[in-house]
Amino acid sequence: MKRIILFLLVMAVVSLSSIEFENLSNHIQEINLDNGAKVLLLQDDSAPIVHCVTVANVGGVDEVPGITGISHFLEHLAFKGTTTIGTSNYEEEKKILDQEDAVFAKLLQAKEAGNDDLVAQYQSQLDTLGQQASQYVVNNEFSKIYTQNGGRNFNAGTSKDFTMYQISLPSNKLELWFTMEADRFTQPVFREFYKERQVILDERLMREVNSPQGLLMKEMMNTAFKVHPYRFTTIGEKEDIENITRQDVKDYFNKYYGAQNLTFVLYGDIDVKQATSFANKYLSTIPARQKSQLITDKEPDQTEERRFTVEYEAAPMVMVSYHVPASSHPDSPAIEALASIFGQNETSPLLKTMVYDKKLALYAYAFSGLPGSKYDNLFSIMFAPNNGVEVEDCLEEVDTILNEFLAKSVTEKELESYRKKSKKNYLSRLDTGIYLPIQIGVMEFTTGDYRDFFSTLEKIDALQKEDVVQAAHKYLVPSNRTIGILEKAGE
Amino acid sequence: MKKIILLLIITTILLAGCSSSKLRPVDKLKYPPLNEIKVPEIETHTLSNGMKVYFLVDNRLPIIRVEAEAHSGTITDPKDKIGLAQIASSSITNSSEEYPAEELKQILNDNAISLGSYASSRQSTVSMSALTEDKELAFSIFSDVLRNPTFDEEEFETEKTRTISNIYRRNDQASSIAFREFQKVIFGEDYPRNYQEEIYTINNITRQDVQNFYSEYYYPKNITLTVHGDFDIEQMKNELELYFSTWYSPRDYKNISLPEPKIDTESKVYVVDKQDASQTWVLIGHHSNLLYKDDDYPAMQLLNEILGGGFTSRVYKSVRVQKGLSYSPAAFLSASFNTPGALYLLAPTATENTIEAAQALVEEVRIITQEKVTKEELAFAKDAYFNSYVFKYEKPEYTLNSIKTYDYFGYDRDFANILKEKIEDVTVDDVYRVAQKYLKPDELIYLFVGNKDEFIEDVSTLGPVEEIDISIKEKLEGDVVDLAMGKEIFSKFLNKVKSKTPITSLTSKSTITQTSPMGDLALEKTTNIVFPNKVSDVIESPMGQISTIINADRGLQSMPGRDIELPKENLTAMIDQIQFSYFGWLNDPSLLTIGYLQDEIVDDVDYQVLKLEYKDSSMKLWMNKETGLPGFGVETMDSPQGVMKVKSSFSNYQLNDSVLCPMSIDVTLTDGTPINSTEYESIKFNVNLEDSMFEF
Repeated sequence: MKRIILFLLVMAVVSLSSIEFENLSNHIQEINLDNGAKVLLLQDDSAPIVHCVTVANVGGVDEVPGITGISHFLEHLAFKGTTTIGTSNYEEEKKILDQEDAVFAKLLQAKEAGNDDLVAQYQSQLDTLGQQASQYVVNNEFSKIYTQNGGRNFNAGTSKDFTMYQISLPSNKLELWFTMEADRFTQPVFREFYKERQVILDERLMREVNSPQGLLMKEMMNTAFKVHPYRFTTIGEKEDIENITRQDVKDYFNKYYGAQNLTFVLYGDIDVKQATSFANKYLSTIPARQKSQLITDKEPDQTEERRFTVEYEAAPMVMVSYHVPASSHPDSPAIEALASIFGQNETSPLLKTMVYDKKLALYAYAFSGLPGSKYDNLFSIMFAPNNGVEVEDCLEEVDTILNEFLAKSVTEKELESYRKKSKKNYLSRLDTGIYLPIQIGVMEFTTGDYRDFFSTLEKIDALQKEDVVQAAHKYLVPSNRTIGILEKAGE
Repeated sequence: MKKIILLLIITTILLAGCSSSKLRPVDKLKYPPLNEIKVPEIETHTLSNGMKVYFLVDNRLPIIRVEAEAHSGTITDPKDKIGLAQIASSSITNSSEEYPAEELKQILNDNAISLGSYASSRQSTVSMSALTEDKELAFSIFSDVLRNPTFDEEEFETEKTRTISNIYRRNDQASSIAFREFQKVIFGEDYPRNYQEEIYTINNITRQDVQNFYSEYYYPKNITLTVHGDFDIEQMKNELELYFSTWYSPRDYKNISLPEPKIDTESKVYVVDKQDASQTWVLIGHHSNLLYKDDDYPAMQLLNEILGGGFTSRVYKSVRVQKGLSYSPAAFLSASFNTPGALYLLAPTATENTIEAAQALVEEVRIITQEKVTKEELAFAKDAYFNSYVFKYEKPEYTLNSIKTYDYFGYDRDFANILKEKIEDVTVDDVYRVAQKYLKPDELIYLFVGNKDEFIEDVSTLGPVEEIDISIKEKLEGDVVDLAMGKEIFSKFLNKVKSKTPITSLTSKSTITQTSPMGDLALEKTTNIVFPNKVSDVIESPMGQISTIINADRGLQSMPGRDIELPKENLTAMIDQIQFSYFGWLNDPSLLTIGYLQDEIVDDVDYQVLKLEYKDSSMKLWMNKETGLPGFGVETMDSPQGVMKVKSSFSNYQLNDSVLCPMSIDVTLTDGTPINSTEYESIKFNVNLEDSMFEF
């Protein structure tokens, strides 16, 4: 029957009128629910679509050794449904899930004791229980509901700083999202836990173990950071992923997924009044828990250059990374400008020499914000030597370029070009569909205020060339850096 | 193991019906009708010079974007210069008459103007975006690079260096190997869409080639322009006239088309070894032939949704959710606007699960060809399709792009709506019918990319395994490597052997010794040639005189007692053979394609090996490095005894009529079996040969 409604789709040929993209910040509606959750509403009726994003103030950085990868594991399990979605009989299903967990606890003990026979025995019990539980599982029901209702962009992502859930819907289905999202964060069920672990281990193989870039990054974090949890990758250590229990995930959820740690951003063809009332009706049911605290682990100042080599069957790739402060730090805009002026454009000294004039590298660029930007992070120069060019020659050249850059000042013209580019980039970022609410929501937890997204250009306008030069001299010093090289064995 | 899998599937099917009985919170929701979809207006216009333009006004942001698409693309690459379209497209935006390379980069940077270019299979595209406030400058740059590119030499070299660097990196990730090689095993390596750049094809590309590419494809009637963003249409029309009206087309629109691929319907198993991989990329499928406009497409679209479309599909459910074998499995049969497609089943999986993942994927294909999908599945797929239809209008440029694409392939502009209506009518039987018609679970081609040793035994149960060599070759054995160097070596040779006047005719006396089973036979021979197509020769044989006259389109062989009219097809071959001989090379070397292959030492002599090509013939020629003269050549020839490799050795070079000539030419098979040898007594060039000599 739903199909008939759709045939009544009203279509009109129109000229597009201005929706005042440039003054977007004036149009954003902020709702603070009693339970501490924040809802941001941004109206744009150019298409009857709504983009819905949930950002949780938790990510890899909140993990401790032993449970690395748990934020990402939880994100996967958040698609498995709730007590009402994804099950044909939750009461019965729950009994089996509890039995599974009891067997897995024994399995871990047997593993600890090195008793392989017992491990195999428990594993087989676990498989049997998994099959029993699957009788009650309505596969992928959570996704199915969205898909059937026309959902697009259904996905989620976990980073070191935050976890994010997204879906775009025809705008008349707005209430569906409120219902589902409230259910998801009020009474989730982490079903199919043991199968999902395998999927995650596969994802880890794909992203990290079998990716030269992934390997280089992992090793860089591990070498540049000694204390701060940025030293682990988001996907987690293999052993940790293998040993995490469902109870660990539940505990983690209860600790971090309280309403105060959630920001919801809706962007599109919404009626603000109605959306506000839905927010109150549905999202208020999410329990208030503890608000996440900032990590206090402080990475000690690096006092001498570090260096490592990763061997992998791939053409060489090099990363030179310097410690820089978090995005909330006053130096942050200058560091961003530094990355752009020094190494993001064809006319930047880094690219001009490395790629064009001397043809040493296939690519070369500079960027900050790795592996996150909520805490002190890394400003990195990344390059790939052209075939036949020695890594060491490239590194030497990078130093020469950098020293020349430090010796001369940044010109007013360079800064002016940067301002202009930033303006164009910022404006382009507004028209990115679902990526707009994602960027706004993420900002809320990386700098602590979503409004920072809208004041990007003001901060850039206020920048002086001295700020950029000072930042360069302050952070781009050899003792503050780590050099990472990925190359084939024996080279 | 298999029994359990089957059991799980049955359970799932049984349960699928049960789930609707319970009432979930979402079931109580009532949705209002969807608000109006705003379809942006796309205006098309043709400039006075014939250039077609699409306009989409969208003034939500003060940004303007423009794109010029020339009908060309990577499928037009010559085989020995694969990569040309890519490098040529990139080179167009590197410099222009008014904007030299360095200056151009600086202006673009200072004004936040993006200028880009790339080649896809059917298009070479130059695009630009700028803030509206810089519109004039941006258009002045855009029109100048389009009309007057100068292909900066330095930048051209950078493009080549980077392209080669990328070739060296193309095997670094298993996933990219898998997708690339899969295309090749499905459609064949020679299918232009699968052309792969190699170091030697890039080395072959000259700046002249890039200029030629530009002249061949970049002219108003062969370009479609798109202007999108913040502007006024009428004003823009006038501005475009100012920029482009004096640019003319040498010819009409260029139609480019793909040949039919060579298809193998036999099931095959291919393996690419990537020793360091702990994960196997499994790709399985076969060729298919389905276009969007075909009557079967609507049912296939729904089948794809049910079989492998995202998180709710059968393959996702089986391979990821139930069996935990892969993070991102997928399955679909690709259709397209006008070229063949393929069935794709794919899953990256842990090495130890390789065969299981493959079997799980194939199992789903088998099931869908054997059992009808349920009404619920079909209704679900339709709901998903109709409810998400609005996303075709999420951004105004989506409408622009689909209209452009429909126009390009000659589809109805309302095609999306037509398809929607057809999808409405698809039944369970339709899906079953197309499943049986297009999915061939017994004709699958399997490709496994990973640590071969760990799964080779398992996958060989699927059939004989063929390993694909993906090693990167700097030059191709037996093929042209370096045209520039080939030309250089050959020019040196030409300068050494002949005076400046071109050779137009010759007359020679020689003794030709023919080897035969009855023993060697020495024959006197007189030859007169006027290039390109007149020959008259006389051989004194024990049986009497044998004379041959060839004159353009007629040839006659006379021997005592009879005349034989030479068949036309032999005639051409004989004329070509004369042109493709030592003296023919001297007559007109520009007819030859000459490439340098490699250096080689044979019997302690240093040679530079060239490859000479003329029409269908090709010869490898060993040039003596010290003398710069041909030492010997090897040609592959068809003969009644089969394919033979024939070697001609040139020796005893002497000046004749101020031309350096090999006075001895020995012809043997490459195994040493003698065929004949020629000893010249005299050779004279550019003598006045009477026309009567070539009359019949």
